[in-house]
Amino acid sequence: MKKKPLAAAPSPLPPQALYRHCDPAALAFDSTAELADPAIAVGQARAAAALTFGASIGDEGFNVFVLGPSGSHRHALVEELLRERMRHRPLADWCYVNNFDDERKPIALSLPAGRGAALRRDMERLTEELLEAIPAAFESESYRNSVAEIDQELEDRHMAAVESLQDEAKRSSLSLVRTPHGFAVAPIRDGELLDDEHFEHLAPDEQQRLRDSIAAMSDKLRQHIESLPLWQKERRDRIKTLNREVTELAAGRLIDQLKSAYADLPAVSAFLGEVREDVLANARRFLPDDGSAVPPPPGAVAAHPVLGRYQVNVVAVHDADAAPPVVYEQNPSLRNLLGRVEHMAQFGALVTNFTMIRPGALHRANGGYLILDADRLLLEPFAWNALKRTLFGKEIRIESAGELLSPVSTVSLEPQPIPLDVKVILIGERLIYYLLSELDTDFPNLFKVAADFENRIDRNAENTALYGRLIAALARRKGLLPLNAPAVARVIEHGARLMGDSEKLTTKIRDIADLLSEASYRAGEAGAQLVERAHVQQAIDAQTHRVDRLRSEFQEEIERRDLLIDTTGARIGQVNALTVLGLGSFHFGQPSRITANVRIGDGQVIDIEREIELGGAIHSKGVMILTAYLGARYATDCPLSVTASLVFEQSYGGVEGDSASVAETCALLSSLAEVPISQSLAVTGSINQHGQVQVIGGVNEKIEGFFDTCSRAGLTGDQGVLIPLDNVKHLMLREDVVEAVRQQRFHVYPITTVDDAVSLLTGVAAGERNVRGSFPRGSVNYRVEQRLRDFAKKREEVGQQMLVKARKLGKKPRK
Amino acid sequence: MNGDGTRGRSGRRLGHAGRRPSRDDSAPAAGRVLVALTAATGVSESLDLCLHLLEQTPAELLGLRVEDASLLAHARSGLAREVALSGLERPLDPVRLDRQLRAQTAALRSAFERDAARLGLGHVFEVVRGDPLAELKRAALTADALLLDAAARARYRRGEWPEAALRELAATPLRRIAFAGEGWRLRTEIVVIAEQAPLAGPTGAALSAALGVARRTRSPLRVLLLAADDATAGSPPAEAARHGAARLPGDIERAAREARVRLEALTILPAGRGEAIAFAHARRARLTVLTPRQAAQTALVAELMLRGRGAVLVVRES
Repeated sequence: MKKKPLAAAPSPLPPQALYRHCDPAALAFDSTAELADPAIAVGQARAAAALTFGASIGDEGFNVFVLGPSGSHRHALVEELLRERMRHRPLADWCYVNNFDDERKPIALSLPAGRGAALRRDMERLTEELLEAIPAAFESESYRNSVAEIDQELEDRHMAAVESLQDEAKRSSLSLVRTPHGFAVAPIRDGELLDDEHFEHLAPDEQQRLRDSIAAMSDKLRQHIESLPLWQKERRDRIKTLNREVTELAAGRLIDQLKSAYADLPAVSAFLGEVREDVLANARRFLPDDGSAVPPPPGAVAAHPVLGRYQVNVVAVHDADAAPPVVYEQNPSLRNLLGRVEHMAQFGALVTNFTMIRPGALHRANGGYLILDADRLLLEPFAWNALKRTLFGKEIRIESAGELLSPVSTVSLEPQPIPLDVKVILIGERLIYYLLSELDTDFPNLFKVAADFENRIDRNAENTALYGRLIAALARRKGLLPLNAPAVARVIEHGARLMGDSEKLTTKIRDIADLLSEASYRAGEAGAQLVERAHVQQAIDAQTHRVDRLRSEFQEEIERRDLLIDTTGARIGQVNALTVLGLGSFHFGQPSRITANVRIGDGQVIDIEREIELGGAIHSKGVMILTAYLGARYATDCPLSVTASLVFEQSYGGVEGDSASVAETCALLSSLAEVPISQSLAVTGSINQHGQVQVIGGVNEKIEGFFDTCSRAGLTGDQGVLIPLDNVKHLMLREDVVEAVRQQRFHVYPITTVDDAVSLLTGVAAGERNVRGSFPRGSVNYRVEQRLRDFAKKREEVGQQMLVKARKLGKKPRK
Repeated sequence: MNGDGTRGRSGRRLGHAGRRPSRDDSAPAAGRVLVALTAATGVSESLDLCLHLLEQTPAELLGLRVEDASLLAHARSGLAREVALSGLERPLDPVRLDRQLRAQTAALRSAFERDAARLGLGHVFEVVRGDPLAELKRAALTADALLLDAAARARYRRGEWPEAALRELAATPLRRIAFAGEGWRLRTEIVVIAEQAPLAGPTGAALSAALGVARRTRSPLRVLLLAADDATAGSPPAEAARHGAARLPGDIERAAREARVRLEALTILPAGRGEAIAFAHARRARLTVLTPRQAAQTALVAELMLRGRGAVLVVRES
């Protein structure tokens, strides 16, 4: 039996107020295939302007922090914006080459874009040519003859010296022979060795002469032997000179040719000069029989332990006419940002050289833009500080975490730092931006531009059309089926529902893109060529179905009376409030029973949730506001002599928010007035101290939550939900709810004051004070006021009795 | 020790385990090859050379080490002094000298046995104390082929062996005599110096042996055929006509083609001028193959030992 509404109570909303449809006819297309891509960054003019500014300005510290919620396609939009509006600058290729003076400190070479790779190829070609030319030169008849000539000359000299010594030995009656360790000299006579016995028979003069001769010969032998190392050195020097001449002949021209090709680049030219000197000084490295160098297979020169020294390690390479690079580093670890020096195990030791320097994202982005995720960057050890150091220092200095951590220095490379000219774009949640601004003093100096992405855009005609083009572009990029106009309209409506506002559209493009994918899939399954509204609805329903297990369980618990929620009848001090539960990205509404009890007291409203520390601060604030409202409204001329308690029944988790403060007030007033509240209604809204009802969040979910409970119990036609009037613009309710309203089986009432809520919930007029300041007799407010006066009076009587008693006992009364 | 202070023929005969099969089982074995060893550092190269120069795997290697007795005789003189290569001067002590010689021998033996085993060759190592040349000639009587290591050539260069000794060695009736050279591994060309006529007999044997080495080492082969002495009588044009490309036996040319050996044959003048031309070619070769007549009648061997760096092989019969 439907109650007749009070004349002063608000009327229920018409069904058209519960859902704002998008008119497919207004979209003016049949299929998204007809639509062109929208200009980038739909509805993000503010962020786009900031990004454009940040990307264009060259001054120091004007890096950009992009603030915005995840899923809003910030990365894609940033990349698109950068590519469209970037500042074009001349690019440079960067290479690391060997430092022949100190191999631990490789040299960084800068070349105009496109010439780094050319230099690498040229050096590989040169090395391969040297590998052929130098051995050929050393294999030549001419070289061999020259070496043989040197050897022969020295051997002739040695032999001549030995022969001379032997002749002299003979003339001095001495025998000169080789021993395993050198030379031996002994006296002879008549061609025979002179033994000691015969020697003793010689005249003393002769003996002395022989002794002198042996001593003299020994001296000469020693002099000869001492000259041997000098001759060996002379040989080595001459061979070295010869090698240099031969190498110069074979390699000099090849290197000089290359040098002339890079004459316009002094640093490269100087490097080639050093290569030339090194090749001339170390030609034997190129010889296969040297032992240290085995000719590598073609193309494997870089990995060669010796010949790799002439290679060019290109760490940043660009095409000659390329636009500045836009690099997105997904994993901004220290090594991925700054690059690293790799090592190779060799005979149990870790070795490295300049060819094992690997570039990082900063190398690749140098001269352009580097996009990083702020949260990932901050989670990587050392990465944030390293990035700041690099941006401040304006040079890329490769450093490893091991070096930063280890107290002991290990042998590694110290590559020459590379000058840095990069614009860093950090993308992150707003909270990260605010925390960094607050806590990191470097941050404001380095990231002076904030590009704040909108969470939502206005749902006006212009944006609706743009949204349609955005949907078309997403479908096209993802290779999905095109959508017809009704389907696009449904997606737009869903965009508003995701935003929880019929007048706004979400900018979380990821959610829209996911919906399009699923709708396209379902259309494909159905054999359709176009995605239609029904496919979109199926996709939405399926998305919801996949995540609403818990919602179903809650509703089932209510149905089975595990959770006590009445949807019929009336109760004093008991009201159905509405709450929203969030599970990841899915939110749903659920009714909650709030009860209130009152008794004489000192004006205290006990929030049981707060007492047991399950109530949040905002919830407590709501309770305090209603306490203040109570006193101000009903106890202006007497003490507020009530103690009330409020509780969310069967709530075992935390309660936060003030959206139940209207419900709590109504429960309290019902309890005071002893007027029952209809359980077929639920109420949501927050109040201020003047009893006005204010907007709350999640209004759609809350309404649907109570609707589901009522539907399960059976719709009576009396059931409905009271919501703040200012929330009406947020309504994008489910179709079944709207339909029930259309059939007057369910109602949504907009309220602006607590009195509205009280009137609707009790079916009794709340009552306004008349000119004498009195509430109409019989009204809820009248009853509340009277009850409070009664409490105050009784409290005063009790006080008097206690005073008399205290005087009798001679005690001082308590104030 | 023997009564004269030498250890005599104290060589230890080793087993034949691990012998490598012949490269050409149908060919006759090369028999006993005498390897005269002087320095441990040249053993490996000498044995490798031995395998390259011989057509067949030797049945047995006889490593001969001769400890020079004259050195010990010097040490018996109280006045004898030694100047070591370190510059140290001291009396020539016979005990120390003996110890040095034995240490040298032990190093040689070790190197020889290791390398012979590596090559899978049956081997015997013999140590003799006496006159090196005499002992070598004596041992050669029991061998089929003789190989002198590169250190022997150095000894000749130092004048410790007279030129006549070389001729004597070259004239010993062995099937093959080889003198190792330091340049064997570094150079490429193989040169044959033989008589133009007859092409059969010693020239044929030298050609055949040289072709085998060229094939195994993938070296180009240059054949220099010295014209007979009577060819010098005549006018310069006639003389010039004798100096040019030569024809070789068909089987040699065919074998060279089949083995893909680059072959060039020249007739050169006899006597002094011919010798000079031959020497000019041979000096740069990795191997010079000589017939016994060329080895005995000319100064080629002495010159090659003195100034060449490649090996020298005298082929008496194939």
